[in-house]
Amino acid sequence: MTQAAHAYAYLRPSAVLDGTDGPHLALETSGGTTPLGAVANPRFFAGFLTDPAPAAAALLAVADVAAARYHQPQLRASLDPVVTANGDRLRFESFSGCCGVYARLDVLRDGLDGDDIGHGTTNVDVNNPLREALTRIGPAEPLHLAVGPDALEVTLFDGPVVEKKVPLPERWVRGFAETQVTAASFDLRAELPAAEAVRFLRSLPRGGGRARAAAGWVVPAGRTLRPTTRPVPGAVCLPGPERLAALQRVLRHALALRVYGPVAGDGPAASAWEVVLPGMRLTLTLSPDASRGFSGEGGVLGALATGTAEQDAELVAVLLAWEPRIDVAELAEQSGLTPARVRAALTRLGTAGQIGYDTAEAAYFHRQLPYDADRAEARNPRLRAAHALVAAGAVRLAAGGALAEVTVDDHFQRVRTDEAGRVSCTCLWWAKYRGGRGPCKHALAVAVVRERALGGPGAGA
Amino acid sequence: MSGVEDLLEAVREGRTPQVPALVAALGPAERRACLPALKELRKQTRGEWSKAANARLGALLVAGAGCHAGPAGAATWIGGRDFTGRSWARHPALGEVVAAQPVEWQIEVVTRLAERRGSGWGWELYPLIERVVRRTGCPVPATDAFTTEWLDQLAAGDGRHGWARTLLESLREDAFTPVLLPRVFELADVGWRFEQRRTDRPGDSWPAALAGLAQCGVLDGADLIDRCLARLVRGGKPGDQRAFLAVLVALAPTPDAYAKQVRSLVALLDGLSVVAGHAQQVLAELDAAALVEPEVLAQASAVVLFRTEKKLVKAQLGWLDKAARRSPERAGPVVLAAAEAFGHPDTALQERALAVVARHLKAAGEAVLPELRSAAEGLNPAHHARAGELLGAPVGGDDPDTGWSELLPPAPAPAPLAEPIATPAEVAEELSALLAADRPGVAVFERTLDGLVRHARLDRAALAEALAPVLRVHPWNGVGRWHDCGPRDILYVAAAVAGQVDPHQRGTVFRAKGRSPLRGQHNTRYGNVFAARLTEAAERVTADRPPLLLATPTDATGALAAATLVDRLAGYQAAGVEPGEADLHAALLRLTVTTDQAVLAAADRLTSPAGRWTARWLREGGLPGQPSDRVRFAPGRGTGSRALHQEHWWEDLKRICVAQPGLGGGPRGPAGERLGADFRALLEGTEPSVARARQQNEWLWQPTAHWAAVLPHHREELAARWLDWFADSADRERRGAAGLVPVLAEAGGPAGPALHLALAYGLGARFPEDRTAAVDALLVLAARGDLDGALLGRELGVLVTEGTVKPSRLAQALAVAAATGAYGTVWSVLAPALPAVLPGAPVRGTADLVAVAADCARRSAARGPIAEVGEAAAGPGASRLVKEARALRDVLAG
Repeated sequence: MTQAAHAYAYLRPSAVLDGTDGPHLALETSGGTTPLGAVANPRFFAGFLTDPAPAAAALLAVADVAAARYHQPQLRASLDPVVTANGDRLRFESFSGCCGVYARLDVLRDGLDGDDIGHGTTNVDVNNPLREALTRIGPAEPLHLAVGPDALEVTLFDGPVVEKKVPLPERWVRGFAETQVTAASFDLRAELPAAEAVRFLRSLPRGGGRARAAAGWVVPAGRTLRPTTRPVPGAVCLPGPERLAALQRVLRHALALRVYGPVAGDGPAASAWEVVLPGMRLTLTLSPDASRGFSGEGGVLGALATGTAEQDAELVAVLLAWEPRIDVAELAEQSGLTPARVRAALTRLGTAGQIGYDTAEAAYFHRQLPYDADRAEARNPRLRAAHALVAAGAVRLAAGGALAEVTVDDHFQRVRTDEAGRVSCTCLWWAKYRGGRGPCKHALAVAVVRERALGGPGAGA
Repeated sequence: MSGVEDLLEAVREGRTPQVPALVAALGPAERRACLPALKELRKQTRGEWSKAANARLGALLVAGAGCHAGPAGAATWIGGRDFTGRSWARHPALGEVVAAQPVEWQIEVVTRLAERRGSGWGWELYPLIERVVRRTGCPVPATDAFTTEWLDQLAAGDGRHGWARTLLESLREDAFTPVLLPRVFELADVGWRFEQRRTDRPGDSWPAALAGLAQCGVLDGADLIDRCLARLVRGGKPGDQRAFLAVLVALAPTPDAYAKQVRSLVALLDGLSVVAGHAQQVLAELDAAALVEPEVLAQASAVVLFRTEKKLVKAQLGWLDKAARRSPERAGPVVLAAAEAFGHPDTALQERALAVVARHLKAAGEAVLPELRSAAEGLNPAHHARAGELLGAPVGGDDPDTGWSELLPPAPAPAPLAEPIATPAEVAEELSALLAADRPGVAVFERTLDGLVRHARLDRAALAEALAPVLRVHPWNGVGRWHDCGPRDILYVAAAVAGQVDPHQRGTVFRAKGRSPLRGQHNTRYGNVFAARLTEAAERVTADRPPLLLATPTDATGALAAATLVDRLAGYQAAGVEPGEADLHAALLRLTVTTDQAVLAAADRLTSPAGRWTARWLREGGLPGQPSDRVRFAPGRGTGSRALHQEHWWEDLKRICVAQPGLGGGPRGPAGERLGADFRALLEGTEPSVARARQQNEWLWQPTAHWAAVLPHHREELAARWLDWFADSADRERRGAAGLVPVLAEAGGPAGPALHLALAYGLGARFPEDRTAAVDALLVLAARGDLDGALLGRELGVLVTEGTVKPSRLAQALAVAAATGAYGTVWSVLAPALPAVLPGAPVRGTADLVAVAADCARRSAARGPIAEVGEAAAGPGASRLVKEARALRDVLAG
């Protein structure tokens, strides 16, 4: 099997340099997009981090997640974090190699002191000397931060010095892009003050040699969170608690812990864990199981299969300009689309890595993952299987429209659509997850055929 | 025959040793000509498993290495995965062929091989690469894989000298050392190698050897120290950290060298405990020698006092104390730094911090007081009085006496079952989901069974067609000998609907003629109830097809509302359908009795026998509960050893159990009807016995929510019969059974001794998730007002005294419950338990239990001395138990 690779080209390694006015944290950038188009080594910020020690610890936590695999840890993960400048804040994102943990550090206006913050998305280099230097940063001296080389430096360099070529698994890109789909259904479920947050996070198992703990739930009780064995009302799923280990780094600086999750259902669910730091927020989003990456959640496959939103997405994409908060109503006005169509277009853009979701603000934000994410989503195995079924003419719509039969090899599955438009199927995969991980290939195939029958945009494809 | 043919022939026959000579005999063009044939042969041999194919692989490897003129192609060839199986790369012939190639070619090939990623190649290719590098003197490839393999070779000792030389000597003479050894500090997972040593000679341990290299100048000592500290600062696996700490200690940096690395040392304070301990010690020494800036102390204190390790915190407070004694002008920063420990989870350490503050407060002056006062709010209330005296202002603004209100989770709301399933397609989906689920729920099972019956009546053919895709994946194969009938056996009913089995034509099952195929030889009583219901349903959907099932509950606990059953019976009566016996009996056991006169009147109007029985059942208040008789169960001699996991384990059981007299014949209907034997068996008398304990130890079956849903209004009776399972989770450390305690807590019926004992065992369970479940149950019972704290506390006291429940586990469970705000509830349990727990030899965890009790008593404003607490508090010494007992005594005294 061939695997895509991603090439980083940094002008020099990221480093903490000693300056007369204290240490300079120079984060180097590689590739990416800005409002002006693709740039090799963009610069987004130069100034100070107002709280050096927590900022350094939080950056390390993001780097930890980028380098971690919480499932099958013997395999390596080596993709660099991604930084987005949203004009009023910097967001550092990373995604674990096992595709199950997404980390984001939002450095807000209060956490930064310096020039204007730019717009755009790029990769940042993380290396061992940088990790060591970040660990050594003390609380006392001010910390200068530069994201990207300045224009003068770019001309001084005779080509990139640090070039890395790393494998870029499709499912990793897919999972990274799709985390926001899951997160968009989250609500704030609990907020713990600093002392309780520390107590709670310390009480979690650290993993290690023992058998992996089963998915548990926590439920807000008094000032703290109580572990429970069942998804009682108000509970948040905490799947694989050892995956919150990266938060231990910032524990000392935590001001509060906020927990986000969907409405408690029957089975394990994803959840987001946000540590509030001075002028910053560090959020870890966990997949429903350590062995279950975000890439397989398939929450947007329906939208992709039918392609209704494709043209809308192109229109909306033009209007996005690295806003820190995307206002759906405003976009609807600008584009002349209904809010529902804008939302569908955003979902579509999300799968191409162009949208992130900020649970703390309950809003989408614009960023463009510096990978070819669009292609990865189109090659989703389930989607490909569905198209193959359609091509083989396996779908037969029954009269009345509610039922459809999909012939697979020597047998068939029955796909049912109820009045509310919810789809269900008789296949084993659907029986296991019941839509919790998106539609199955049979349901997708039926959706495609049905849309073609109606003469939608997918017709003739 | 040409040389090319000779070579190919030799390769085909796997004559590896002859290959080098044959290759040498060929010119460049001939060699190139060989390649396609070799590639083809390799493709054929791949995946073939025979002696000949294996030998051919070796010859292929060597011949290919000789015939590739381009180094890139050669490296790819040699590194091929198909050659690694039998380590052909270690064959001397390969070395011969490679050595015969031009030097530049050799260098290029080994450089490329060394850069290959992955751990697989190391052992096979290392000797080849090493030989070439040593022979040609080309730059040493410093890749991770090569370095790791080099380390392993060193550890194994070299072939020529064995272990005659020490590790230090080997390293000193090895030309690779200056290049590769610094790389070692960047490898992951290298620590375990450093812990191995060849012999006990001083030069044979890795840390000592590294220090030796620095001493004799092979390596730069300062550089090694930098690298070692950098590695420690970066963090990583504990094993690695410990190994590099040992290296650091062996390198023995001078105080001046350390003083240059203050930032690293402070960073280490946040690392692994043992590493932090070392850094702390070094920093304290540097501070004492005035080699570092005074602010380092405050920075270090902020990091260390936040940690949980008592040892580190104590040492830090000691350092603070010494610093202030040495130079009283530092008292200000010292007391402020020490105040960071006021919020420490361990109250003994808080006390220690308070003592340090007290000692130096005078020298620190007035300026520090406001900050100290605000920090003192984090102190445990036990220290509030002392802190108040010290700081000259009362500490602890929120008086627990006035601020307390018991926080309990809301009592669980009933979870009504969804509407009956509307279409055959949905029945198929629900069935598919039920069969695919790890643990299908009660609601899913009951609705699906009901759906099968309803739609079989409406249109059996349509239902059978809808079920087809599901039955293809799950064919009905009968029941296994060791199987207990359960929710998954609903498949039998579905198969009957589809005509795949005929429930009326029974063959011989387990040597019994006409036996239901659902009655395996080892069914439990609950399995028999399932079998009775499912067999009856299968028979009826293929015969008279009743309109619906009577026993489908209206609530996920299994409870069936009286009004609903009366309605259903009226429907049966109107349609002239006779209820199934098992269905009716199951419905009666689930019936929620009511005092609603309208429902009772409607029931009285029923004329069918089933209707009249139901009406009478309602009037008489349903199936009576059974009195619980508390019994101590200790059947054996009690060897006193931990034999609970061995043969004859039951001889060491010491349990408190419950006996119940049983139902006898059970209540009769108006025409003398009785519950079926399967149903009566559920409520037969029970008493603890070795037989029962052993039976409930079978790993095959554990109680499930489905079992509880058979008798939703008799949780006490169920708990009495399942107690051995619950006790197992505490004294025999088995996993899982306690997960059912919350289900019982949410069920109906009185909560008596059996249920409280189940809870007690759960709170003392071995596995955290079982204790979590028990805490769930405790809070649910309390929220529903069903908890008898005195009863639970007394039983816990006895179980702790018997050694069945360990105080440390109980303390953990109750601390979780208390932290949610249920202080009063937890105190109501602990107060009656303490008089039994405290006397006698102290057991590990007792102090924790008393600490939880003190906290709960204080916050729930409990008063009234307990004699045993007073005795424990008056005990000699200053152990933690005595301290905590004193704190509790003071609280209770008001």
